[in-house]
Amino acid sequence: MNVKLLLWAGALWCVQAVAQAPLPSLANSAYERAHRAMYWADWDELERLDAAARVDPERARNGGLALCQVREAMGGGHGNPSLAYHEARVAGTLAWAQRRPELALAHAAHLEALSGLAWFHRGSGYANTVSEQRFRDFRATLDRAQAYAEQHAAVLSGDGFAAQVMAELLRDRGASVAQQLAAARRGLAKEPWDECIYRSVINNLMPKWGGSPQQLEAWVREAMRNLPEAEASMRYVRLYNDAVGHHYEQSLFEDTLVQWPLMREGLKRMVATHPQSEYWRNRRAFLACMAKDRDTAAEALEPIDKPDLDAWGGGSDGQRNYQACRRWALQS
Amino acid sequence: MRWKAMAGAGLTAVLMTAQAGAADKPPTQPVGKATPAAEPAQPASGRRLSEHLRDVVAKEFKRFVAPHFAVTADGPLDAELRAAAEAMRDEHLPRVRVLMERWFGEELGEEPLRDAVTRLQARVANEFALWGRDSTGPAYDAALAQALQTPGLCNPGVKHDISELVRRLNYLRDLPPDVRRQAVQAERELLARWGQPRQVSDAEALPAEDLLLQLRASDQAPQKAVVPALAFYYLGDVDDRRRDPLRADGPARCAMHQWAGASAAQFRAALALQAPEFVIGQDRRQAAALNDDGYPRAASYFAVKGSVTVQAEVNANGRLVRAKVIKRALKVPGIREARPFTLEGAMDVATLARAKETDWLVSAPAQGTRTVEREFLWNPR
Repeated sequence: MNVKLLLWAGALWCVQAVAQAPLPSLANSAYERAHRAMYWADWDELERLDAAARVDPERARNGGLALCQVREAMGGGHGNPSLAYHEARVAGTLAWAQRRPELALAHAAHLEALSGLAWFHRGSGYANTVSEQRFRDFRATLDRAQAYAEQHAAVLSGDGFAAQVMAELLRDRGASVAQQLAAARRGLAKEPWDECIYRSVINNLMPKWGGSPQQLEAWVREAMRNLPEAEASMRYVRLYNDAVGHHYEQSLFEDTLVQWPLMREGLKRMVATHPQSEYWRNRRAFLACMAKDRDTAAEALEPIDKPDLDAWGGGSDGQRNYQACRRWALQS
Repeated sequence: MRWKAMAGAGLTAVLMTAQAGAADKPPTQPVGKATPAAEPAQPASGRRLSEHLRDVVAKEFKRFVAPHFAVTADGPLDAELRAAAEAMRDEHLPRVRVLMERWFGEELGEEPLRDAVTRLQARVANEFALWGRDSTGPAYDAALAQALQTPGLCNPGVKHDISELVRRLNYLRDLPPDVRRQAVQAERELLARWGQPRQVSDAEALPAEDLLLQLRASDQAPQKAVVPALAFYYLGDVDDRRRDPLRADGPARCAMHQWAGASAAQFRAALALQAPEFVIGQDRRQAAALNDDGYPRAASYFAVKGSVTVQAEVNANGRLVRAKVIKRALKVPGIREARPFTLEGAMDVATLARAKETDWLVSAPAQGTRTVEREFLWNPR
């Protein structure tokens, strides 16, 4: 009887262990789930994800917020997309917005889909590689988005995702940086905690869009305002780190007003706060080499056995950056 | 059919040896998570299967049945639906195991012995197809029809290759709570019908794949929006990146037929599992491809024979303008007292391919088009 009881308890423990196996947190699964939902026109799932992400303060392994991942997935296209794919997104999101006229998320998703279609027409090449007809289609689609935004201004007003999309739309239509920032701040006025807006606007402040290092620095400082010191320094890192990927690459410390000591402090906190993040462990070394801080680079490189090449610039560039940094930092 | 020849040779040896000692060995308990209420299976002859033969069944069960009832925590179902799925799985799998042992016993009494496992596979596969087409009645149909109006119905979630059971319950997730509860109960009842003779809907699936191809050829925006996934894979700008709709997987097929406006019965007909997909891992296009002997792969494997009748629209040049299958009279060893739905998909594709290659000049009208019917025979050489 005792043996039976023991076996039964053991079996019960196994069942409970399986039942309680940790599922990926929302922040770690949000991008993929939202991406799938967008792909299959699963609007209810997107609404559920958005609602859950808005109240989920937990960050992913790499420190990203679920909300930003949901929005990124909603805007992200696929490799090799087609006109039919973009038109399907436009038509699907419009049907969603018509079904749920009071839902800002649906209208913002439609604007984002129109923006994706516009960029499909234009392509991502330099302006001198784009035909006049493609430019016309690009502008016409942006005009359509602008008209839609004006028509639904009331419901879009104050929504974080809508603010992101509007800032992007204004940028693409050639509005001033001040106008773009004003659109972003309208979203922040209602949702001041919304880090995703701060991060998405970084791209608008790059020189290729008419932004300046001063505007970038002012925006980063604005984003840090009212945050506890530790949080503020980590946000500083996130925002300037985004600027590396969007434009500055290896010239961040020469061409912007970024301050390495503040960045260094933030990176240290970032690695301590997200100990499972290979990205930030590697990125700290990458940025330290870029800032020519040999001691910090050597210390950061020490625990890295196998580099996370994404953190080093990706692909073969990433491999070369890692090797060059290692040679420089570890030479006596 | 190399895989079948190899499998056949090995299995024959196992079957001959095992059958010789079938009555001598004591029966073992059925293997399964939960012990079914049913007794260990007895073949038609009244003898229990030997341990060796039960192992053969166990392997088939593990390969072709259990995966279709897998329920995992990272799937798309919410907690309530997942709990229902787990309960259904635990109730149903032991039942199928018992059925398979009984069916295998029956097949061991048939010739040729070397094909007994293939016949068992066909029977199990057809049971899946019958389950796919079956309905508990108007309330269940109405629930599915309501679900078909929901955008995102076909989203399989992050884990793309969800099981058949999860796929079915996933359709119900956004229904109003009371409708959903009844539909889940209906799903449970449908599983309980496995192995019982029953009338299922003989509705034809809509030609959604053809409609998608027509849309692609038209180069126009669709009247009714397609989901981005379909547009991405099937309506792309670059020819060699466009997929063949007849090779679509479950979620894409679901989205195609939802987009085409399928009724509940038409949708179920379109999504009912086809034997080649899960027994030999081939989609309908692959399964319909001809072997060197001119016989479709799936038909060779399952020894399908009979006829398929096509209604064809022929123009004055003797060219086939349009064709559709209107009648099937197919026999599949192992599938008894039921229409072999599970192999009709592949046979339809194979027959329509033959119709396309047929010279229709004798049926050509002087002008315009003429609709004619023609029966295509499928008999292995």
